[in-house]
Amino acid sequence: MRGTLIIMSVTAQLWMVRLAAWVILAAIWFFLGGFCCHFSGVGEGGLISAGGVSSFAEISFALNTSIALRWFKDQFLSIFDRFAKNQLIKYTAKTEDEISEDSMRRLCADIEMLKEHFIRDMEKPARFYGLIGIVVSVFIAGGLLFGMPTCLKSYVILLPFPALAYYITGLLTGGLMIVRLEDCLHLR
Amino acid sequence: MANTNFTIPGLYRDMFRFMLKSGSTKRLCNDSKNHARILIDELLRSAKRNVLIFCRHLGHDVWDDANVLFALREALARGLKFSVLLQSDPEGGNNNRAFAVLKSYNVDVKKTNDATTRKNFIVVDGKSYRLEDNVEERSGCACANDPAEAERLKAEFDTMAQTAIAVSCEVR
Repeated sequence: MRGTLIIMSVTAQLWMVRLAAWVILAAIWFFLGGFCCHFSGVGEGGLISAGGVSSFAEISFALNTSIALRWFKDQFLSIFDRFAKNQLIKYTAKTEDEISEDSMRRLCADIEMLKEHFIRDMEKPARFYGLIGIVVSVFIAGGLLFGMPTCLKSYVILLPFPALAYYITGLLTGGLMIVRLEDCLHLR
Repeated sequence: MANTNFTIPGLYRDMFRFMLKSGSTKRLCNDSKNHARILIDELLRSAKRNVLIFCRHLGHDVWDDANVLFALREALARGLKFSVLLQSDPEGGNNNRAFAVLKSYNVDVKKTNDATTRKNFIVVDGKSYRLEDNVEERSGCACANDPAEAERLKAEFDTMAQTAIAVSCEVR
């Protein structure tokens, strides 16, 4: 069971983190596309209209990203909730000699506690992603100041770093979640 | 009365479902009417062959519940063999909905002259059961897989059924 917990939590975490990371990066890409076209002035009409399209795409991406992230968060929480509930039900049914209403109340409290810890553990890396986003934006904005080529160059160089950071924090979150599960299941 | 409003809805039902599915031999206790209804509902839903019901009078507090009635109707529609033994006429007589459902599927509901037994039970497929030892509070326990105890309850049921008579009230 412990192995399954580890694999499932880490895999699920990573998929969500990957998806979120790429959606955010795509949004930044479209935003930059529009921004660069507007400010570079290269190609006048053609690029300005391309910039307009990009800006529109950026707005829709931003909206979609926000909706999608909220949706993913809800889905993930509900999957986690069901998963944790099932695991704890199995554990209680196997370990208790007789399942009283008190055992059920304890089980309920365990699930609630696990959920609280999970949300808290999710919020920490979310704030960290936000910080990374700001830092990356500052770098890209700095690149923009020196013109489009510099900007593109910095962007290309910086691209792998946020993704890598997402992966690492995703792994850490998965690890934290396992620790919490183990606490609840009294495995440690 | 114990607080049975868990903050996670459906947890008690999920627990008993899991026990039924996995054939758990552990006992699950219930302290409230609400949980009594859940256990009976799930037992009826899980039934595959036969159901034995022994109770005082098919009390409204448990047997008039919409989920229990639905599960009862579904079990009857699946063609399961039902044996029902009461200690008195159904509560509310003709207006007892569970009794009406049983009669509509031609289940022979009988009444025993043994008024001293102070418990209710339901046995499903000769292995799972719910035994209620406090009929006022509706508290008791259930097990998804205990053929020995189920057999003992069946023997008790059969003994009481020997002197039983048909229930007198008619369903309109």
